[in-house]
Amino acid sequence: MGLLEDISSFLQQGRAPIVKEKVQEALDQGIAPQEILEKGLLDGMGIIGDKFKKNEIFVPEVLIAARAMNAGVGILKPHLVEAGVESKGTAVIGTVKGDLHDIGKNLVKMMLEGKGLSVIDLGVDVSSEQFVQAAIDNNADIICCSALLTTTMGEMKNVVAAAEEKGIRDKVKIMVGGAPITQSFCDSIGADCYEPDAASAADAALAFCS
Amino acid sequence: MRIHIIACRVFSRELNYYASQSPHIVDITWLPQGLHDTPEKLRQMLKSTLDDLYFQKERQMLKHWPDYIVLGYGLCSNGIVGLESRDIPLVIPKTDDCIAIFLGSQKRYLDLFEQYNGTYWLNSGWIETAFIPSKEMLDKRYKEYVKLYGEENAEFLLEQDKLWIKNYNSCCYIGSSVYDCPDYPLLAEQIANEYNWEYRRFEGESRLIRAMTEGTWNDTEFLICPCNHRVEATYDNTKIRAVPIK
Repeated sequence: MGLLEDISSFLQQGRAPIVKEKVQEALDQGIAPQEILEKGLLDGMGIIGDKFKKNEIFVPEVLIAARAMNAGVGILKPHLVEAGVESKGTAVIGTVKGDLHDIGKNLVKMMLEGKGLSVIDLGVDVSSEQFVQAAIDNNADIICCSALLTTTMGEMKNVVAAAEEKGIRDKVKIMVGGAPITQSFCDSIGADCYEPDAASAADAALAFCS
Repeated sequence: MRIHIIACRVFSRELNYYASQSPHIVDITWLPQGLHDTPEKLRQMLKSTLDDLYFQKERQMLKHWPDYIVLGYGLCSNGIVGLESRDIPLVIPKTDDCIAIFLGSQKRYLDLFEQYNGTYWLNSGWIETAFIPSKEMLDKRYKEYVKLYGEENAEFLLEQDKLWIKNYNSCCYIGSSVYDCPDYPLLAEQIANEYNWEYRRFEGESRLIRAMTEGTWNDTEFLICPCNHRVEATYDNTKIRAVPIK
Protein backbone atom coordinates (compact mmCIF):
# COMPACT_ATOMS: atom_id res chain seq x y z
CA MET A 1 0.00 0.00 0.00
CA GLY A 2 2.87 2.35 0.82
CA LEU A 3 4.25 2.01 -2.68
CA LEU A 4 1.00 3.11 -4.33
CA GLU A 5 0.82 6.10 -2.00
CA ASP A 6 4.39 6.95 -2.99
CA ILE A 7 3.43 6.81 -6.66
CA SER A 8 0.51 9.15 -6.05
CA SER A 9 2.66 11.50 -3.99
CA PHE A 10 5.61 11.64 -6.44
CA LEU A 11 3.14 12.17 -9.28
CA GLN A 12 1.69 15.16 -7.44
CA GLN A 13 5.20 16.56 -7.10
CA GLY A 14 5.73 16.16 -10.84
CA ARG A 15 8.71 13.82 -10.42
CA ALA A 16 8.40 11.77 -13.61
CA PRO A 17 11.61 9.69 -13.35
CA ILE A 18 10.77 8.46 -9.81
CA VAL A 19 7.14 7.73 -10.74
CA LYS A 20 8.44 5.54 -13.57
CA GLU A 21 10.78 3.67 -11.22
CA LYS A 22 8.08 3.17 -8.59
CA VAL A 23 5.54 1.88 -11.12
CA GLN A 24 8.08 -0.69 -12.28
CA GLU A 25 8.79 -1.61 -8.66
CA ALA A 26 5.06 -2.12 -8.03
CA LEU A 27 4.78 -4.37 -11.09
CA ASP A 28 7.81 -6.35 -9.93
CA GLN A 29 6.11 -6.83 -6.57
CA GLY A 30 3.14 -8.36 -8.37
CA ILE A 31 0.63 -5.56 -7.75
CA ALA A 32 -2.12 -5.69 -10.40
CA PRO A 33 -1.64 -3.08 -13.17
CA GLN A 34 -5.20 -1.81 -12.73
CA GLU A 35 -4.57 -1.24 -9.02
CA ILE A 36 -1.37 0.67 -9.77
CA LEU A 37 -3.32 2.79 -12.27
CA GLU A 38 -6.33 3.47 -10.02
CA LYS A 39 -4.74 3.77 -6.58
CA GLY A 40 -1.41 5.25 -7.67
CA LEU A 41 -1.57 7.30 -10.85
CA LEU A 42 -5.26 8.25 -11.14
CA ASP A 43 -5.41 8.89 -7.40
CA GLY A 44 -2.54 11.38 -7.66
CA MET A 45 -4.00 13.06 -10.72
CA GLY A 46 -7.40 13.30 -8.98
CA ILE A 47 -5.84 15.20 -6.08
CA ILE A 48 -4.04 17.51 -8.51
CA GLY A 49 -7.37 18.15 -10.29
CA ASP A 50 -9.11 19.06 -7.04
CA LYS A 51 -6.33 21.42 -5.98
CA PHE A 52 -6.39 23.06 -9.41
CA LYS A 53 -10.16 23.60 -9.16
CA LYS A 54 -9.67 25.32 -5.82
CA ASN A 55 -6.89 27.52 -7.23
CA GLU A 56 -4.41 25.99 -4.78
CA ILE A 57 -2.07 25.11 -7.64
CA PHE A 58 -1.61 26.50 -11.14
CA VAL A 59 -1.03 25.31 -14.69
CA PRO A 60 2.71 24.42 -14.39
CA GLU A 61 2.03 22.10 -11.43
CA VAL A 62 -0.73 20.37 -13.39
CA LEU A 63 1.50 20.01 -16.43
CA ILE A 64 4.38 18.40 -14.57
CA ALA A 65 1.99 16.09 -12.71
CA ALA A 66 0.39 15.06 -15.99
CA ARG A 67 3.84 14.46 -17.43
CA ALA A 68 4.67 12.21 -14.47
CA MET A 69 1.41 10.37 -15.01
CA ASN A 70 2.18 9.80 -18.67
CA ALA A 71 5.60 8.45 -17.69
CA GLY A 72 3.93 5.95 -15.34
CA VAL A 73 1.24 5.01 -17.86
CA GLY A 74 3.96 4.36 -20.44
CA ILE A 75 5.39 1.60 -18.22
CA LEU A 76 1.95 0.30 -17.32
CA LYS A 77 0.28 0.27 -20.73
CA PRO A 78 1.49 -3.11 -22.08
CA HIS A 79 0.47 -4.72 -18.79
CA LEU A 80 -2.96 -3.06 -18.84
CA VAL A 81 -3.54 -4.27 -22.39
CA GLU A 82 -2.43 -7.76 -21.41
CA ALA A 83 -4.80 -7.71 -18.43
CA GLY A 84 -7.63 -6.61 -20.74
CA VAL A 85 -8.28 -3.30 -18.95
CA GLU A 86 -10.42 -1.07 -21.15
CA SER A 87 -10.55 2.68 -21.24
CA LYS A 88 -13.50 4.33 -19.53
CA GLY A 89 -14.64 6.16 -22.63
CA THR A 90 -13.45 8.03 -25.70
CA ALA A 91 -13.32 11.76 -26.35
CA VAL A 92 -12.27 13.63 -29.47
CA ILE A 93 -10.78 17.03 -28.74
CA GLY A 94 -9.55 20.04 -30.67
CA THR A 95 -9.64 23.81 -31.02
CA VAL A 96 -12.33 25.09 -33.39
CA LYS A 97 -11.78 26.34 -36.92
CA GLY A 98 -9.67 29.48 -37.02
CA ASP A 99 -8.45 29.09 -33.44
CA LEU A 100 -4.78 28.23 -33.00
CA HIS A 101 -4.52 28.37 -29.21
CA ASP A 102 -4.08 24.93 -27.73
CA ILE A 103 -2.75 25.46 -24.20
CA GLY A 104 -6.18 24.95 -22.61
CA LYS A 105 -7.05 22.12 -24.96
CA ASN A 106 -3.81 20.29 -24.08
CA LEU A 107 -4.54 20.72 -20.39
CA VAL A 108 -8.05 19.25 -20.75
CA LYS A 109 -6.60 16.38 -22.79
CA MET A 110 -4.17 15.54 -19.98
CA MET A 111 -6.92 15.77 -17.38
CA LEU A 112 -9.20 13.48 -19.39
CA GLU A 113 -6.38 10.96 -19.72
CA GLY A 114 -5.86 11.39 -15.99
CA LYS A 115 -9.40 10.09 -15.52
CA GLY A 116 -8.66 7.01 -17.62
CA LEU A 117 -10.38 8.15 -20.82
CA SER A 118 -8.96 7.65 -24.33
CA VAL A 119 -8.44 10.94 -26.07
CA ILE A 120 -8.20 11.50 -29.83
CA ASP A 121 -6.41 14.82 -30.22
CA LEU A 122 -7.35 16.52 -33.49
CA GLY A 123 -5.03 19.46 -32.80
CA VAL A 124 -5.86 23.05 -33.73
CA ASP A 125 -8.05 24.71 -36.38
CA VAL A 126 -10.44 21.74 -36.55
CA SER A 127 -13.52 22.07 -38.79
CA SER A 128 -16.95 20.95 -37.59
CA GLU A 129 -16.88 18.15 -40.20
CA GLN A 130 -13.54 16.90 -38.85
CA PHE A 131 -14.86 16.83 -35.28
CA VAL A 132 -17.92 14.83 -36.27
CA GLN A 133 -16.08 12.46 -38.62
CA ALA A 134 -13.49 11.69 -35.91
CA ALA A 135 -16.31 11.03 -33.43
CA ILE A 136 -17.91 8.59 -35.88
CA ASP A 137 -14.61 6.88 -36.76
CA ASN A 138 -13.64 6.40 -33.12
CA ASN A 139 -17.10 5.70 -31.78
CA ALA A 140 -16.54 8.57 -29.36
CA ASP A 141 -18.72 9.36 -26.35
CA ILE A 142 -17.76 13.02 -26.26
CA ILE A 143 -16.68 15.85 -28.56
CA CYS A 144 -14.66 18.52 -26.72
CA CYS A 145 -14.38 21.90 -28.48
CA SER A 146 -12.02 24.60 -27.30
CA ALA A 147 -11.84 28.29 -28.32
CA LEU A 148 -9.77 31.08 -26.87
CA LEU A 149 -11.11 33.89 -29.02
CA THR A 150 -14.44 35.66 -29.21
CA THR A 151 -13.79 35.78 -32.97
CA THR A 152 -13.85 31.97 -33.25
CA MET A 153 -16.17 30.72 -30.50
CA GLY A 154 -19.20 30.94 -32.83
CA GLU A 155 -17.75 27.90 -34.70
CA MET A 156 -18.94 25.69 -31.85
CA LYS A 157 -22.50 26.15 -33.06
CA ASN A 158 -21.45 24.56 -36.37
CA VAL A 159 -20.10 21.50 -34.52
CA VAL A 160 -23.49 20.96 -32.85
CA ALA A 161 -25.22 21.39 -36.23
CA ALA A 162 -22.80 18.97 -37.96
CA ALA A 163 -23.39 16.32 -35.28
CA GLU A 164 -27.14 16.67 -35.86
CA GLU A 165 -26.74 16.52 -39.63
CA LYS A 166 -24.69 13.31 -39.46
CA GLY A 167 -27.22 11.71 -37.13
CA ILE A 168 -24.90 11.26 -34.12
CA ARG A 169 -26.24 14.03 -31.89
CA ASP A 170 -28.01 11.58 -29.54
CA LYS A 171 -24.92 9.37 -29.27
CA VAL A 172 -22.35 12.00 -28.44
CA LYS A 173 -22.11 14.67 -25.75
CA ILE A 174 -20.68 18.00 -26.87
CA MET A 175 -18.56 19.83 -24.32
CA VAL A 176 -17.36 23.41 -24.85
CA GLY A 177 -14.68 25.39 -23.08
CA GLY A 178 -12.09 28.17 -23.29
CA ALA A 179 -11.63 31.61 -21.75
CA PRO A 180 -14.55 33.43 -23.47
CA ILE A 181 -17.07 30.56 -23.13
CA THR A 182 -19.89 30.80 -20.60
CA GLN A 183 -22.79 28.61 -19.52
CA SER A 184 -25.25 30.91 -21.28
CA PHE A 185 -23.27 30.56 -24.52
CA CYS A 186 -23.26 26.77 -24.12
CA ASP A 187 -27.04 26.83 -23.65
CA SER A 188 -27.56 29.20 -26.57
CA ILE A 189 -25.85 26.85 -29.07
CA GLY A 190 -27.40 23.67 -27.68
CA ALA A 191 -24.15 22.07 -26.47
CA ASP A 192 -24.33 19.66 -23.52
CA CYS A 193 -21.77 20.94 -21.08
CA TYR A 194 -19.55 23.87 -20.18
CA GLU A 195 -17.03 23.74 -17.36
CA PRO A 196 -14.87 26.64 -16.25
CA ASP A 197 -11.65 24.65 -15.74
CA ALA A 198 -9.86 21.57 -17.04
CA ALA A 199 -10.30 19.49 -13.89
CA SER A 200 -14.07 20.06 -13.74
CA ALA A 201 -14.25 19.24 -17.45
CA ALA A 202 -12.58 15.88 -16.78
CA ASP A 203 -15.05 15.12 -13.95
CA ALA A 204 -17.99 15.95 -16.22
CA ALA A 205 -16.55 13.89 -19.09
CA LEU A 206 -16.12 10.87 -16.85
CA ALA A 207 -19.71 11.24 -15.63
CA PHE A 208 -20.91 11.22 -19.26
CA CYS A 209 -19.07 7.95 -19.87
CA SER A 210 -20.24 6.03 -16.85
CA MET B 1 -17.94 67.08 -20.40
CA ARG B 2 -16.10 64.78 -18.03
CA ILE B 3 -15.09 61.27 -19.05
CA HIS B 4 -13.68 58.63 -16.75
CA ILE B 5 -11.89 55.85 -18.59
CA ILE B 6 -11.10 52.49 -16.99
CA ALA B 7 -8.51 50.93 -19.25
CA CYS B 8 -6.03 48.16 -19.79
CA ARG B 9 -2.48 49.44 -19.41
CA VAL B 10 -1.75 48.26 -22.96
CA PHE B 11 -3.39 51.55 -24.08
CA SER B 12 -1.30 53.77 -21.81
CA ARG B 13 0.65 55.67 -24.47
CA GLU B 14 -2.29 56.27 -26.81
CA LEU B 15 -4.92 57.03 -24.17
CA ASN B 16 -2.63 59.28 -22.14
CA TYR B 17 -1.74 61.23 -25.25
CA TYR B 18 -5.26 61.66 -26.61
CA ALA B 19 -6.64 62.34 -23.12
CA SER B 20 -4.21 65.24 -22.82
CA GLN B 21 -5.39 66.63 -26.18
CA SER B 22 -9.11 66.11 -25.56
CA PRO B 23 -11.50 69.09 -25.40
CA HIS B 24 -13.06 67.24 -22.44
CA ILE B 25 -11.74 66.51 -18.97
CA VAL B 26 -10.53 62.95 -19.00
CA ASP B 27 -9.53 60.86 -16.02
CA ILE B 28 -8.09 57.36 -16.36
CA THR B 29 -7.88 54.37 -14.01
CA TRP B 30 -5.42 51.74 -15.21
CA LEU B 31 -5.73 47.99 -14.78
CA PRO B 32 -2.89 45.54 -15.45
CA GLN B 33 -2.38 44.06 -18.92
CA GLY B 34 -3.19 40.38 -19.41
CA LEU B 35 -6.54 40.09 -17.60
CA HIS B 36 -8.15 38.77 -20.82
CA ASP B 37 -6.52 35.44 -19.94
CA THR B 38 -8.76 35.23 -16.87
CA PRO B 39 -12.04 36.93 -17.88
CA GLU B 40 -13.66 36.27 -14.49
CA LYS B 41 -10.86 38.20 -12.81
CA LEU B 42 -11.14 40.98 -15.39
CA ARG B 43 -14.88 41.24 -14.63
CA GLN B 44 -14.21 41.37 -10.89
CA MET B 45 -11.52 44.04 -11.24
CA LEU B 46 -13.70 46.19 -13.50
CA LYS B 47 -16.57 45.80 -11.08
CA SER B 48 -14.48 46.76 -8.06
CA THR B 49 -13.08 49.77 -9.95
CA LEU B 50 -16.64 50.89 -10.71
CA ASP B 51 -17.61 50.26 -7.06
CA ASP B 52 -14.69 52.42 -5.96
CA LEU B 53 -15.66 55.23 -8.31
CA TYR B 54 -19.28 55.22 -7.09
CA PHE B 55 -18.07 55.07 -3.49
CA GLN B 56 -16.07 58.27 -4.09
CA LYS B 57 -19.07 59.87 -5.77
CA GLU B 58 -21.55 58.89 -3.05
CA ARG B 59 -19.23 60.04 -0.26
CA GLN B 60 -18.75 63.31 -2.16
CA MET B 61 -15.04 62.75 -2.32
CA LEU B 62 -15.20 63.82 -5.98
CA LYS B 63 -15.76 67.50 -6.58
CA HIS B 64 -17.07 66.63 -10.05
CA TRP B 65 -18.27 63.36 -11.32
CA PRO B 66 -18.05 61.98 -14.81
CA ASP B 67 -20.83 62.25 -17.40
CA TYR B 68 -19.68 58.98 -18.93
CA ILE B 69 -17.58 56.04 -17.84
CA VAL B 70 -15.72 54.53 -20.79
CA LEU B 71 -14.06 51.12 -20.80
CA GLY B 72 -10.69 50.89 -22.53
CA TYR B 73 -11.44 47.27 -23.37
CA GLY B 74 -12.92 45.24 -26.18
CA LEU B 75 -14.84 42.07 -25.38
CA CYS B 76 -11.53 40.69 -24.06
CA SER B 77 -12.67 37.06 -23.65
CA ASN B 78 -16.12 38.35 -22.62
CA GLY B 79 -14.63 39.79 -19.41
CA ILE B 80 -16.84 42.90 -19.77
CA VAL B 81 -20.07 40.91 -19.97
CA GLY B 82 -22.26 41.20 -16.88
CA LEU B 83 -21.06 44.67 -15.86
CA GLU B 84 -23.77 47.08 -14.72
CA SER B 85 -24.14 50.83 -15.11
CA ARG B 86 -25.68 52.84 -12.27
CA ASP B 87 -26.46 56.54 -12.64
CA ILE B 88 -23.64 57.17 -15.15
CA PRO B 89 -23.83 55.62 -18.64
CA LEU B 90 -21.14 53.12 -19.59
CA VAL B 91 -19.50 53.25 -23.03
CA ILE B 92 -17.76 50.15 -24.42
CA PRO B 93 -16.11 49.60 -27.81
CA LYS B 94 -17.80 46.74 -29.69
CA THR B 95 -14.58 45.03 -30.73
CA ASP B 96 -13.20 41.59 -29.98
CA ASP B 97 -10.06 42.94 -28.36
CA CYS B 98 -7.51 45.74 -28.24
CA ILE B 99 -5.99 44.88 -31.61
CA ALA B 100 -9.17 46.08 -33.36
CA ILE B 101 -8.96 49.29 -31.31
CA PHE B 102 -5.31 49.86 -32.25
CA LEU B 103 -6.16 49.15 -35.90
CA GLY B 104 -9.01 51.65 -35.79
CA SER B 105 -12.00 49.39 -36.51
CA GLN B 106 -13.46 45.96 -35.89
CA LYS B 107 -13.96 45.55 -39.64
CA ARG B 108 -10.29 46.16 -40.44
CA TYR B 109 -9.30 43.68 -37.72
CA LEU B 110 -11.68 40.97 -38.95
CA ASP B 111 -10.54 41.45 -42.56
CA LEU B 112 -6.91 41.05 -41.49
CA PHE B 113 -7.80 38.13 -39.18
CA GLU B 114 -9.36 36.36 -42.16
CA GLN B 115 -6.52 37.23 -44.53
CA TYR B 116 -3.66 36.44 -42.16
CA ASN B 117 -4.90 33.81 -39.74
CA GLY B 118 -2.06 32.78 -37.46
CA THR B 119 -0.84 36.29 -36.81
CA TYR B 120 0.87 37.33 -33.59
CA TRP B 121 0.17 41.04 -33.08
CA LEU B 122 2.61 43.38 -31.43
CA ASN B 123 2.80 47.11 -30.84
CA SER B 124 4.43 49.42 -28.35
CA GLY B 125 1.75 48.72 -25.71
CA TRP B 126 2.19 44.96 -25.94
CA ILE B 127 5.97 45.15 -25.94
CA GLU B 128 5.95 47.40 -22.89
CA THR B 129 3.37 45.55 -20.79
CA ALA B 130 2.81 41.95 -21.94
CA PHE B 131 4.64 38.65 -21.85
CA ILE B 132 6.03 38.30 -25.37
CA PRO B 133 8.04 35.35 -26.74
CA SER B 134 11.35 37.21 -26.97
CA LYS B 135 14.54 35.37 -26.08
CA GLU B 136 14.98 37.60 -23.05
CA MET B 137 11.54 36.87 -21.61
CA LEU B 138 11.71 33.15 -22.31
CA ASP B 139 15.11 32.95 -20.58
CA LYS B 140 13.66 34.75 -17.58
CA ARG B 141 10.72 32.35 -17.44
CA TYR B 142 13.04 29.34 -17.75
CA LYS B 143 15.00 30.53 -14.73
CA GLU B 144 11.80 30.92 -12.73
CA TYR B 145 10.78 27.38 -13.67
CA VAL B 146 14.17 25.97 -12.63
CA LYS B 147 13.83 27.66 -9.26
CA LEU B 148 10.31 26.33 -8.69
CA TYR B 149 10.24 22.92 -10.39
CA GLY B 150 13.83 21.80 -11.03
CA GLU B 151 15.81 21.74 -14.25
CA GLU B 152 14.26 18.68 -15.85
CA ASN B 153 10.69 19.94 -15.44
CA ALA B 154 11.74 23.48 -16.41
CA GLU B 155 12.75 22.36 -19.88
CA PHE B 156 9.47 20.50 -20.32
CA LEU B 157 7.43 23.47 -19.09
CA LEU B 158 9.20 25.89 -21.42
CA GLU B 159 8.51 23.52 -24.32
CA GLN B 160 4.83 23.56 -23.35
CA ASP B 161 4.88 27.37 -23.23
CA LYS B 162 6.31 27.46 -26.73
CA LEU B 163 3.94 24.91 -28.30
CA TRP B 164 1.59 27.59 -29.64
CA ILE B 165 4.44 29.18 -31.57
CA LYS B 166 4.35 26.46 -34.22
CA ASN B 167 0.67 27.24 -34.89
CA TYR B 168 1.42 30.83 -35.85
CA ASN B 169 2.91 31.91 -39.14
CA SER B 170 3.42 35.64 -38.94
CA CYS B 171 4.09 38.59 -36.70
CA CYS B 172 2.44 41.93 -37.45
CA TYR B 173 3.69 45.10 -35.86
CA ILE B 174 1.20 47.94 -35.54
CA GLY B 175 2.93 51.30 -35.84
CA SER B 176 1.71 54.24 -33.78
CA SER B 177 1.67 57.93 -34.58
CA VAL B 178 1.79 58.66 -30.84
CA TYR B 179 5.00 56.88 -30.00
CA ASP B 180 7.19 54.54 -31.96
CA CYS B 181 10.48 53.56 -30.39
CA PRO B 182 12.69 52.42 -33.29
CA ASP B 183 13.72 49.33 -31.32
CA TYR B 184 10.18 47.95 -31.14
CA PRO B 185 9.56 47.04 -34.80
CA LEU B 186 13.10 45.62 -34.82
CA LEU B 187 12.22 43.42 -31.85
CA ALA B 188 9.02 42.29 -33.60
CA GLU B 189 11.03 41.44 -36.70
CA GLN B 190 13.58 39.60 -34.60
CA ILE B 191 10.83 37.48 -33.01
CA ALA B 192 9.40 36.73 -36.47
CA ASN B 193 12.84 35.61 -37.69
CA GLU B 194 13.42 33.47 -34.61
CA TYR B 195 10.29 31.40 -35.32
CA ASN B 196 10.39 31.53 -39.12
CA TRP B 197 7.30 33.69 -39.19
CA GLU B 198 6.63 36.28 -41.85
CA TYR B 199 6.99 39.83 -40.65
CA ARG B 200 4.49 42.53 -41.60
CA ARG B 201 3.83 46.05 -40.47
CA PHE B 202 0.53 47.91 -40.46
CA GLU B 203 -0.02 51.46 -39.31
CA GLY B 204 -2.35 52.00 -36.39
CA GLU B 205 -5.40 54.23 -36.67
CA SER B 206 -6.44 56.37 -33.73
CA ARG B 207 -10.14 56.98 -34.50
CA LEU B 208 -11.59 54.59 -31.88
CA ILE B 209 -9.17 55.76 -29.20
CA ARG B 210 -9.93 59.38 -30.01
CA ALA B 211 -13.65 58.64 -29.88
CA MET B 212 -13.10 57.38 -26.33
CA THR B 213 -11.27 60.52 -25.17
CA GLU B 214 -13.22 63.04 -27.27
CA GLY B 215 -16.68 61.62 -26.63
CA THR B 216 -17.32 61.12 -30.35
CA TRP B 217 -18.50 57.52 -30.00
CA ASN B 218 -21.35 56.24 -32.17
CA ASP B 219 -23.81 53.48 -31.31
CA THR B 220 -22.65 51.16 -34.11
CA GLU B 221 -19.08 50.80 -32.94
CA PHE B 222 -19.74 51.38 -29.24
CA LEU B 223 -22.29 50.07 -26.80
CA ILE B 224 -23.69 53.05 -24.95
CA CYS B 225 -25.12 51.32 -21.93
CA PRO B 226 -27.74 53.68 -20.38
CA CYS B 227 -28.09 54.12 -16.62
CA ASN B 228 -29.17 51.06 -14.68
CA HIS B 229 -28.51 48.58 -17.45
CA ARG B 230 -26.45 45.41 -17.65
CA VAL B 231 -24.05 44.41 -20.45
CA GLU B 232 -25.18 41.16 -22.01
CA ALA B 233 -23.49 39.05 -24.71
CA THR B 234 -25.50 38.53 -27.91
CA TYR B 235 -23.19 35.86 -29.36
CA ASP B 236 -23.67 37.33 -32.84
CA ASN B 237 -21.97 40.10 -34.83
CA THR B 238 -23.49 42.77 -32.60
CA LYS B 239 -21.41 41.26 -29.75
CA ILE B 240 -23.06 43.00 -26.78
CA ARG B 241 -26.27 44.78 -25.82
CA ALA B 242 -27.64 46.64 -22.81
CA VAL B 243 -30.57 45.19 -20.89
CA PRO B 244 -32.44 46.98 -18.09
CA ILE B 245 -31.65 45.81 -14.56
CA LYS B 246 -34.87 44.51 -13.05
